Amino acid sequence: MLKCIIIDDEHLARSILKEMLIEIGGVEMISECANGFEGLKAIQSMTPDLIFLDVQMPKINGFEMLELLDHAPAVIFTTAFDEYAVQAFEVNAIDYLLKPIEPERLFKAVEKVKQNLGEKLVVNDNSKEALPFLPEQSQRIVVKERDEIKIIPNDQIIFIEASDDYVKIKTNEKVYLKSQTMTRMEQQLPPQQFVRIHRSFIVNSNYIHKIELLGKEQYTLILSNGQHLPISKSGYVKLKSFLGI
Amino acid sequence: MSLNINIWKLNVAVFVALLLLCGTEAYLLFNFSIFSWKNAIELCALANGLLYLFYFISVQSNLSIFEKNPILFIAIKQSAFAFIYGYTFLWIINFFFHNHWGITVDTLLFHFSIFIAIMVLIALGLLNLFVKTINNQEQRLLMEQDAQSLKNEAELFKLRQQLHPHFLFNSLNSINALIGSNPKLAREMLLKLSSFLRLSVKREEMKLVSIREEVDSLELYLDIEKVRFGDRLNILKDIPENLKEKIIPPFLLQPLLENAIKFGLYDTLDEVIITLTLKETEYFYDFEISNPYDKHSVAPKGTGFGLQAISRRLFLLYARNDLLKVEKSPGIKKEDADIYIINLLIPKNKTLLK
Repeated sequence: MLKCIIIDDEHLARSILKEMLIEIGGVEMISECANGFEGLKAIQSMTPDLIFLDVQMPKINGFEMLELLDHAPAVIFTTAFDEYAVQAFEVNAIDYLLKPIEPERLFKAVEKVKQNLGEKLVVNDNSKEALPFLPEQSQRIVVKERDEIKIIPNDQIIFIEASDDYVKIKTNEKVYLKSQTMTRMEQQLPPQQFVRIHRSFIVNSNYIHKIELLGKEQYTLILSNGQHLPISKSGYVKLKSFLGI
Repeated sequence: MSLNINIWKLNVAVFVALLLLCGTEAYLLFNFSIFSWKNAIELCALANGLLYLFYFISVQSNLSIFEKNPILFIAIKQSAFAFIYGYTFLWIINFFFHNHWGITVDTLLFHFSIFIAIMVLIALGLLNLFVKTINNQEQRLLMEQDAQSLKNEAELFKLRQQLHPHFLFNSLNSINALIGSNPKLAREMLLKLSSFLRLSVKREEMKLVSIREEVDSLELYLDIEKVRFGDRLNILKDIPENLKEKIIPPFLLQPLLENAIKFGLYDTLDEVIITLTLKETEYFYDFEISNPYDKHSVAPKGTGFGLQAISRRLFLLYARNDLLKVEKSPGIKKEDADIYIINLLIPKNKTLLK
């Protein structure tokens, strides 16, 4: 039996999916969640094999919820409109179903999951590796802090620093940790606001105070809060073209 | 607002002005007892034709290096033309009239007419520049307005497109779910959905609709959302019966309500109250829509786009920027969500710009 969880904010959408899954058989519904927060908790405590995930949900959307998981189960997206299809396959979703869902499509999708699990093809081993890139830039970053989920608007981010397998997200109030790569971070943040000035630093251009020459071709960036950040050679080139100098 | 001067009208005016000028010149010459009346009139006609020709050439000619300083450019250019004019004038007098009648024009008079010609040509050149600039600006303004309205229509269309597929397919999905569990409600919802779509299509072609029609369509929309989100959605509505037959432009109210649903309902976890009220003031129909919103929430994308499109559309309809008011008020208790209040003012007199 496949253990599965449905995450969707509309109760009717959950009930029709449940109905169809019962008809197909071989799937055990262990939980139903009405939003990303409930989903996150349920996934961590019940470790399902498969989740059915809606994209548009209150507070945090389906993609953001997936980002917060260290070990994501197999994912089948269910959504009303196919603007997210490309994005869904980039997060290694098994399948992408459009509502109203056709029973045959659902059957095929579930079979695909069974096959993949049977072949011990672990689908999303580590969500940060499983997210090669999202083409769509986001206006916010979602982080998990102990049991709390925090949504940080881009404007509040001063800079991002690499730290082993994590990134440190520095805001005015505090520093948040997120399990993510710098490259992925750079792709996710809007390039008209953020510049990667160093292998280990991405800076929000709104907080740049000035650039100082240290020595021959060596520069340092001074933020409006007085903090200094190193600039690499290639970072300086990027920064120059970004600031139009 | 519009000066409404055509370049050709200006040219006629200049022609007449030059005719008067040359008439004066001829009169002066006559008074100096140089010419007979007949000769003075002949000379006047010739000089006028010549001066107009020079004026025409001078305003039509253009040198791009001077474009950055048009006034200086025109002063120089017109002076040059005035000198050419003066010398040609002199040449004509000498060539045609000297030989025939033995007349010479004395230097003082010659310089005087050149001076007048310079002044007149410079003034005319500047006037021409002025009128051309205003005409250009007006034309550009009109073009911008056109482009804006087209863009606006496209944006509004896109906005509706963005919302409708989600709404439509989610509603169909709900109906699909209800067919099994509650066929009666499924049928009701299907009928409401088709009425809503029919009303939308119908209103798409209309410039004005009654408040009743607009509100009916909103009610259908809200009923469908209520089935989808169950008890979470509460609507408080107060539309006075006596105002329902008044007419307003369609699709102004609906995007606002969709916006309220989007932030109030789609992005919250708890029960929400969305209100829609209408008041009549001295000059306006004042619609107020309020919804709770989470001040900490950051919309993933496209925030405020809907409101911008609506205020732009209002500007195109009424040439006013103050018809959409947005207000955020904090909740009563600390844990309460903030309230987002939008006032849409629709002027009572129905003179639309378009």
